Amino acid sequence: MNKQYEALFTPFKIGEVEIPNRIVQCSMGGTTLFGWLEPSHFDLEAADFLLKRAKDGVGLVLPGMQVIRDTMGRKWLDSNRQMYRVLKPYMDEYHKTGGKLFIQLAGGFGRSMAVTPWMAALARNDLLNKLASPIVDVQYSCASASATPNRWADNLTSRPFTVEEIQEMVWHFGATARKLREAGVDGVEIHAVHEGYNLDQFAIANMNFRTDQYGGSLENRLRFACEIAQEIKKQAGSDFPVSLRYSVRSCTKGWRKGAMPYEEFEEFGRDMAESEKAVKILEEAGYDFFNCDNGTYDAWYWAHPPQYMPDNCNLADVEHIKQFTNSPVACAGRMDPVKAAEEIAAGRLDAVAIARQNLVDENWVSKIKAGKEDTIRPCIRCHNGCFNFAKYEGTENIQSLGDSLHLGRCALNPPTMQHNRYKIVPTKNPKKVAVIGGGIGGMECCLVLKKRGHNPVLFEKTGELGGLFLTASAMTFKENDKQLIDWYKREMKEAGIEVRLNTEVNDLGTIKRGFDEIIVCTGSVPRTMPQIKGFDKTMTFTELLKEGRIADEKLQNVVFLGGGQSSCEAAYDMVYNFKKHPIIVEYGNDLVAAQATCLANTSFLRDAMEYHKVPVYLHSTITEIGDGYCIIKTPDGSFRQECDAVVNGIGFVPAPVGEKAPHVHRVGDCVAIGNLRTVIWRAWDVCMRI
Amino acid sequence: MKKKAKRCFVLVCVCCVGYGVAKLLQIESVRDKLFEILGEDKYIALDSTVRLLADLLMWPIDFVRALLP
Repeated sequence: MNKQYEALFTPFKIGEVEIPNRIVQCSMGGTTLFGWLEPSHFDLEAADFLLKRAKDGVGLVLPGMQVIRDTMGRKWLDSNRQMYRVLKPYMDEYHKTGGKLFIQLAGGFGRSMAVTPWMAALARNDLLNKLASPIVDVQYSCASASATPNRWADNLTSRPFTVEEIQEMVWHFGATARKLREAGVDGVEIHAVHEGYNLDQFAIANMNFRTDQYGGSLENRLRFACEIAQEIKKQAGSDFPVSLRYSVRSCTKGWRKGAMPYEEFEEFGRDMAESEKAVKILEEAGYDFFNCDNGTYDAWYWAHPPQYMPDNCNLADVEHIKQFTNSPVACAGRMDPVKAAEEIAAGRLDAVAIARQNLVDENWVSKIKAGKEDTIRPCIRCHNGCFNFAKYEGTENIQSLGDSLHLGRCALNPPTMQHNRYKIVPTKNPKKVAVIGGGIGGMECCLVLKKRGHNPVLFEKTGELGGLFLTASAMTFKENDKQLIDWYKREMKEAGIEVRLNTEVNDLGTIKRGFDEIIVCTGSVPRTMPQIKGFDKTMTFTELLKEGRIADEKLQNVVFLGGGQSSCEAAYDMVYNFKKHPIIVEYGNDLVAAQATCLANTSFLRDAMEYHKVPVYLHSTITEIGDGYCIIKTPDGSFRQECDAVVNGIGFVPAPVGEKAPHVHRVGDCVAIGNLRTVIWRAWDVCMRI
Repeated sequence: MKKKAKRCFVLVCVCCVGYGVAKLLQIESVRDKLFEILGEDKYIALDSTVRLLADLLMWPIDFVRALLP
């Protein structure tokens, strides 16, 4: 093992429980041991995933957040006896790994409840909600400290919890913890003063207008969280460790408004001065461990940082707060294991909390131990498989039903949390397979086919592997994307897959004879709009990013036609890293108005555009492009905009080679435009059946 | 009464057929054959639909299970 990681593999204590090393797997929605949105049950898929993580060497595993009363179903978590009977033998098996497991318990979502359109309709109508309440009570799921606006749905306000409801919930926290301890669970973590969830809404003054014992002073606002810790100690034993998921700062400017990492702003939520006092009160109440980061649902990119956020984005704040408690402290949020080990060795931090890397590479801890860091598949922080709650102006949570039911999967690693669906089954009939196109889809096909025992040959028309992802990864902040391409290239080489570069295949007939199967992964080409006068003068993303025009001094004012994710990312790179002047023209009512991308990612881009004062014209289009100008048509009329270039950001269209035929398959954007998840998962869907 | 028994019989038959189909779909060779017959697009669409239906079916089952002592 590389010496720089040594501090990560030393034990530490939470209360009286010894954790074998400093690696904590943070809770991720969907990896819940007792079900996510479903009525509580012992979830076999999550159980399998969590056990594998312990076997890999994670010291402390925290399964996904478990609401103390079913999000839907309204059953208290302590009421399903069968679930605890199954849990006991599982914990016996789990402890053979040497790892520890704490269950994260939450008091619900409150105003952060990611309501879908049908849930919002129920919540807005008292009668409908009452009728549905024996099965699903959305008004209860959205209930909060006070009447506050929902994060997702417009015109939806949370109802305040009654004191009786709060005290009922506190008792059930204790009862659940007792049952978990009896079943062999090592501790619990309370998802309390964190990320703008329900219990955090009690803690934040601007979200809590109560005048009873749960509102007003800081002590009163923290009373709910404190009573939970005390009740757990009372019912489960004073030596049963209770961790606290804790956001040091809210980094929130107002309702639905987050703060950029480099921004000076007036805190709407919890600021550092209040946090210093809060952590002492919470420690005195009985919390034994502080598992920290920053953010709220309104500033979601702090708690779920996309690629645009810096590495270790919460570390300085967490290390500051450690000075105000004697309990151990962990830090989450794009944590770099090398930096974490350095901080732990220096005594500035006690543990590192890492979440999504556990989804992408099931052996990353073993690989670090074995000194094989370069073989770790990197997380690109896309959230497309694990956490794709999506929203734009005027919508509720528009995530698909299938995704709502299955969070915690991975765009890059399909077997994660679906190990019975995606698995490598060796073939009994090895075939020679031609894979056309050396993008991510083509490379993934080759790797799956090779693992199954087939003989793939990859044809790539250019001199480099990576396809359109080379363009997508060219932006300054996309270090993880670049690492992913390197990972693929290395895996291809290690697997001994034959790659024929600079070989364009335009006619499938030319290679049909030599191969049993053909997989077309030729991707897409930019969409065109010839009806726009001068459209041929537009610049493609490949010219702007991959070919480096973005750094060209002559290119200062650039208009993006289309306000999708690619345009916003390129505009952000341009304004933040290159100090240039992008302008965005979008036909729809919001930037990144799409279903597939997580609100943590899209809200960063929207907030960034606002912070950097990037002119954004919504409900608008470009009617003419000339040399040094374009005509922008807005609802208020048309005007001439001087610019150095117009970038074609209106999207892509599939560009398959050849016709559909038996033994010819298609994978990736050449089928339909998607993202890495659609590309990689389809690669598996196809290659598992060849 | 006869009508009720008939309905029950039909329901049991539908459940048995559903269970049989689900079991059949778990066999790799059956899935391979389906992939070959339907082609990848229809196969993937069918697979996703069946999985979503199964998820939705599990919801009331879990709900009832949680009520049991």
